Amino acid sequence: MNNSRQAWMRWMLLAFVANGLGPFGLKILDERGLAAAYRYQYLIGWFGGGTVLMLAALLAIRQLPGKWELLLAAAMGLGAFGGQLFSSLALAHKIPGHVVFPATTGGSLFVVPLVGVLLFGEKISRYGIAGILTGTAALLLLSVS
Amino acid sequence: MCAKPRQAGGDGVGFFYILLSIAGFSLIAVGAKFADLKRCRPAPLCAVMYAWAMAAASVFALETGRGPRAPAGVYGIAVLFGVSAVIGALALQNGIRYGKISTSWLIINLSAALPAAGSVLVYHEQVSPRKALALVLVAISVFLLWLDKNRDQAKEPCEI
Repeated sequence: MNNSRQAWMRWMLLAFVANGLGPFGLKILDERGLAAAYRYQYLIGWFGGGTVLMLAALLAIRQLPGKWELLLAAAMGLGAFGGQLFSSLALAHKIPGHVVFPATTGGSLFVVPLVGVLLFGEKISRYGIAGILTGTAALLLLSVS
Repeated sequence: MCAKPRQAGGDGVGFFYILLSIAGFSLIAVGAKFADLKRCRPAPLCAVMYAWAMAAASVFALETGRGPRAPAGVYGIAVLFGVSAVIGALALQNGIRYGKISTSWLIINLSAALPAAGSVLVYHEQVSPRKALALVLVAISVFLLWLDKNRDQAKEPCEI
């Protein structure tokens, strides 16, 4: 195994654990009965913690955001907020966590290729089409209670 | 930690929220694609994205009439898991310098298994056969999409 491969493995292992743990706070909040009353305050803390850490990183590498970075990050930030908010609302409506988390995170895997085809003219192979259809079937199964 | 077993259930409104959540997370990926076309740098983009999301949450918090006031435990959990998520984003950005974006993105999406497994193991959620089949289909779908990405890279072997 070469250095590049080892570096990728280390970073991706960290990404897997850290990114995977991120949404679980919502579940803890919900189980403690605090999700309904403090949903937005929780999200302020969740995104605030990340913002402070990222701003510190920006200071360290001495980079300032440009016009497009500000604009596109606004849309992405609303997407991130909406994604978290609606996950929290789904949990509050008694959809179990083992359904909410794979459906919301995995669901974008099916939507994004479709947007890629329709908006960016990307090509999808037979595997891709089969993947999107299987994913849609999974989401339909999850939605039938 | 002890909790009552929870039956898999939910209502139609809950699943509507799941669809909205998927739309939100998809907007991140579509925005990232546009950002790539506009040659935006990942670190400033990620920092501003989190700042905008925090601003949006603050506006909604003011709407509740409670403002940012919440028990310390709420902020404790939020900051802990929020920092964990942004470390994941930073690790991804560093990782894709050494590997393919397709496999890196797949790993990020597979990480959804952690909170799902946590919900079953820590809170004893019950998994019905139908839901289990759906989750297996999700895994098969992710694998098929990974094959699709690999096929693309075999044709055009340039890494992002």
